[in-house]
Amino acid sequence: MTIMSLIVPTAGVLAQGDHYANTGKIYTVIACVSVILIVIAIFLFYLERRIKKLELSASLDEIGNY
Amino acid sequence: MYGFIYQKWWKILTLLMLLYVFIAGFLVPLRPGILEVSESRVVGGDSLQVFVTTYNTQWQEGDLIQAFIKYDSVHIWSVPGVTLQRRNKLLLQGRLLGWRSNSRDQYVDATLILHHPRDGFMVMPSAFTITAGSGELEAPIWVEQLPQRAAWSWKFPFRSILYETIRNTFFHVAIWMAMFVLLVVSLVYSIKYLLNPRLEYDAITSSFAHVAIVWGTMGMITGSLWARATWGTFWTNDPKLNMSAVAMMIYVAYAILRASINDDDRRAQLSSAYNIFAFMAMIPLVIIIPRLTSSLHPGNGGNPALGGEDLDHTLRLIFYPAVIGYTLLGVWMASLLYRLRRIEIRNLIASLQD
Repeated sequence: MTIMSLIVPTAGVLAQGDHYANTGKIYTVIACVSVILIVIAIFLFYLERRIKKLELSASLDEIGNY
Repeated sequence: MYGFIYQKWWKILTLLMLLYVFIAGFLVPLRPGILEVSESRVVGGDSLQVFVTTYNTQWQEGDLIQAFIKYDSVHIWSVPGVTLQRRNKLLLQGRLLGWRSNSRDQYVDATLILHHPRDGFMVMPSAFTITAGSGELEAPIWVEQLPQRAAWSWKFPFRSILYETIRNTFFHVAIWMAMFVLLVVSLVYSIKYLLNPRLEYDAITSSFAHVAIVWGTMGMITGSLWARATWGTFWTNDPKLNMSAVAMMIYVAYAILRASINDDDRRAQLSSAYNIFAFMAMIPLVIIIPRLTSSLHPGNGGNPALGGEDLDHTLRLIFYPAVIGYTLLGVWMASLLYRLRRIEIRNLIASLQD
């Protein structure tokens, strides 16, 4: 919660001991942003896998050339 | 055009824009508003004693807080007893102005309006259901007597039910908009391929379509989370939700079609033709049918994503950079896929020539 209150001022308001925790539904927004970052991360891993495949085939060609 | 994808300036621009969107999207506070009233059913003429819980208010003892109950366009009652309990809690007291039913309605939906010198107006429509009581409406208080509006400031609008999730405008709506742009680019290059069958065009088509599918998936998941917070369920049988799901399925089928054909030219030809049909199917599904039906989703009868008053000026200042940012990020991702695909094609041709 302390880290949250540093990042999100609205969460800071919530942290002051209201019993209306997450009344403002800020955690939904945080979940959505996390989804965006996770999907981009998955895309990067997918890209890396394809590049790795290319690198492997390239190095095999080099071995073949020798 | 092809030099564009190797340049750096627009990628830096993309990151700066998204950085701005993520920072401003979180840091700009919500305008203060009214969360709830302790009692919403009241009788005209009775003594009123209601606690009002507000949001994002840092009120202190001695602040001049005014409360008004608006019966209709001319009858606005100024609540005489306004006591500050906490920085976000008020007690309203007084003998409620009576309301005499002069029509067949036995009650009136009254709006609660609060005014604070620094925070300006806070409005809660239908805060009270006032049943006709013994008292009578006194001389009307005219709207002109209300305090002045506060000046514009960097704050997002406060909407009941939505609350902080209004920030999802930048993390859900903007992503769908970016997906449309990517799909249009994909469509253009599939038409180009059919006119002039070069595998390069097909590589662009498929790269953009695949990134658009990624964007659509993001839009679905974020939308579902948003629905859970506002409508109470991850998914409902709503035309807009179901139609966009069908449209997404059509594009997933495009990816499956491509994966199932081994011959490069045949795959390019079939999938380019399919892509045109997919786009043509998506337009009625996502843009036309939702306009003809009613829906929980905002924007009925107009733009399927946003109603006329859904975007205020502060939201616009972040929403438009968000759309451009996600679109350019998608272009960047698609260009990487395209470059990879081009190397794969070149390797394939080289291996065939050996």
